[in-house]
Amino acid sequence: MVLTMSGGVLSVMEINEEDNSLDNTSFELLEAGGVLSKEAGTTISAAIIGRKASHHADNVARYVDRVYVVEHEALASFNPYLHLHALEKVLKLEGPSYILMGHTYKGVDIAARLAARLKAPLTTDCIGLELDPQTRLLKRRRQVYGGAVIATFIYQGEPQLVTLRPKVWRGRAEPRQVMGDIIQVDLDINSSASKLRVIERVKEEAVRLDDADVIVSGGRGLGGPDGFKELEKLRSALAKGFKKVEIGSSRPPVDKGWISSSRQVGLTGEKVSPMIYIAVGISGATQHIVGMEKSKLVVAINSDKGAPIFTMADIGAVGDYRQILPSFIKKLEELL
Amino acid sequence: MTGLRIIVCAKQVPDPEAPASAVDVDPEKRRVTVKGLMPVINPLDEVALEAALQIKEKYGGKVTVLSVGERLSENVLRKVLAAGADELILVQDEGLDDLDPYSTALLLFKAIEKLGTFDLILTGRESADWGSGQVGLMLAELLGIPAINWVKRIEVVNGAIRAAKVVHGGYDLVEAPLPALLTVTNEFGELRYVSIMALKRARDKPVDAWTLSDVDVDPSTLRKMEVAELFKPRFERMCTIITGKTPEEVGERLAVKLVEELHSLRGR
Ligand SMILES: Cc1cc2nc3c(=O)[nH]c(=O)nc-3n(C[C@H](O)[C@H](O)[C@H](O)COP(=O)(O)OP(=O)(O)OC[C@H]3O[C@@H](n4cnc5c(N)ncnc54)[C@H](O)[C@@H]3O)c2cc1C
Ligand SMILES: Nc1ncnc2c1ncn2[C@@H]1O[C@H](COP(=O)(O)O)[C@@H](O)[C@H]1O
Repeated sequence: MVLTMSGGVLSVMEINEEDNSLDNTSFELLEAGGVLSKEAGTTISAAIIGRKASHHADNVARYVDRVYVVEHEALASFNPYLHLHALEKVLKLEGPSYILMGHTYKGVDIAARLAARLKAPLTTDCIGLELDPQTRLLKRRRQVYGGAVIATFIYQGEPQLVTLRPKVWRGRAEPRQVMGDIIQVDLDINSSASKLRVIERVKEEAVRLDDADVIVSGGRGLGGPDGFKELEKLRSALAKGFKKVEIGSSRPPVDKGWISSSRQVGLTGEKVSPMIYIAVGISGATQHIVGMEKSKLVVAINSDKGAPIFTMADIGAVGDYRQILPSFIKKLEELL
Repeated sequence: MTGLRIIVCAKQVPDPEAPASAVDVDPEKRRVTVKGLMPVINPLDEVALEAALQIKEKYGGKVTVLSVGERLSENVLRKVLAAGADELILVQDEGLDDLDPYSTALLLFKAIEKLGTFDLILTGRESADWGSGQVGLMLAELLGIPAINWVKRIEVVNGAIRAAKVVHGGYDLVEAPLPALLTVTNEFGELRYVSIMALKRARDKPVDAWTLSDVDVDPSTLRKMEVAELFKPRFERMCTIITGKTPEEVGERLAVKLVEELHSLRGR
């Protein structure tokens, strides 16, 4: 039998195109990759792909044995085909047995295509990663059935490919004594390298919910976009007592265009952990719960006393939110 | 252009809106069991169908829906015909449930090869049960056609697809030549209302049923998902329900209780 799983770990860094900063996901991947490489007794390397990738080379080299830097003008905006093309070059040089990427819009876009090309089994959105000491295969833990079940997958095959859910790992990679080697990788990009053309990036509302102290979320029960105006009143009342208070949402208001998708909390949205989470007109579907269950204090306002959200809340009020919110807001303004 | 040939890939899943208690695990057999749950069309595949119908309405064409599985319910899937799809093709055989994403993509690929020409393939962003979010992009790689992930708006401009692809804090406007594949995300909007009358009419429409041999796939080349462990997480909390004579009173007491809890939280 050929020697299997003899390669190292490769963590694929993510750069924010806008300000050329290294995304925190990158440090999470370095942390997870570092642990894995220790368990497997192999090396860890990193790939930095972008227009100004070399800017981060020294920083990343503190955490790994080798850094591959792929720099090219054409990588200025995110194009999955060009980024994949660059990553494939790195794979040729490094030949890793384990590839870790972020479960972000970029990571997913590249990883699934790569998995198809390599016929390597991919597990997306992992919330846990372990090495099976005997087989040296990855145990890949993730939520399935909307979060109602947690499953661990083990697949034969090499390389072992995963995307990791952001913010599960804390991004506390340990710097080493000796800096890793920095390897510049040349990229030739001809007209056939990309099957698509990125025309422009259009910015919409970009909010961060993950560092909010309080989140006031609305659901389908708000009945329309005007409901969010009511929530805004609650938000500004709470803003007197807390640093960062944000509006959140379940999915239906996003689908209906009542609110921007960057405010969606849940399986396909943000995973949040504020001090207080207030759910108004949200039923409490598992796909929503998995996005907010780490909140310290959960308040639910819902007209249906049987709504599942009450099994997930610390404090609940049953009734029409339109009738409850005014006095709730007024009293909060007094007390805060 | 005289109309687009559009294929929508739609998966049958246990109703994801059901309470978590309806979903259970058999840790021994390492299987998820759903008790009394109606199968439905994967919600995001309904969104993909809506996208297909809108494109057809705007640019003309034909919409074919393709579904792969072990025990597919014709009654459930016929909804796509009632909504306006022209054709429904089921690839059904033993051992086709819980395939790994690559094998699913491979089956869809072979079925699409059999179908012949097409201009556009739409899939959902992810399926509601095992939800890997991989099958669409893998299928595009197998077909060797461009794919745009997480699409929320679609136009056809001079024989090319122009799509808004969701990225963090906005979208990328992306163009690809046809034929192409798009994975459609929930921001696109919901499937149109399908009336009972339309559902009834759809009962008489023909449905094509294929087997593995029809699509020329050797079952031994297909792999299952490999589940090593399954368990159900628990999320429950003890909820204090605030009562009052009027909603106003409930609101006030809710505020008082919230501030109280906050103090003890901060005190800790
Ligand atoms: C693959 C997949 C991914 C998903 N990802 C997410 C996700 O990331 N986030 C997410 O939230 N969902 C997600 N969902 C959708 C999820 O399954 C539910 O459909 C959704 O969370 C329901 O949203 P809701 O609670 O706002 O609406 P509903 O379930 O319709 O609940 C509305 C609630 O409002 C209450 N109500 C009505 N009127 C009033 C009133 N006047 N006052 C007070 N209460 C009122 C009702 O009693 C009801 O409980 C996903 C689904 C799938 C299949
Ligand atoms: N068995 C199937 N039959 C038809 N389409 C499927 C099947 N499985 C997955 N798909 C398509 O691929 C998308 C992504 O699925 P997944 O990778 O399982 O999350 C789905 O939204 C469907 O459009």
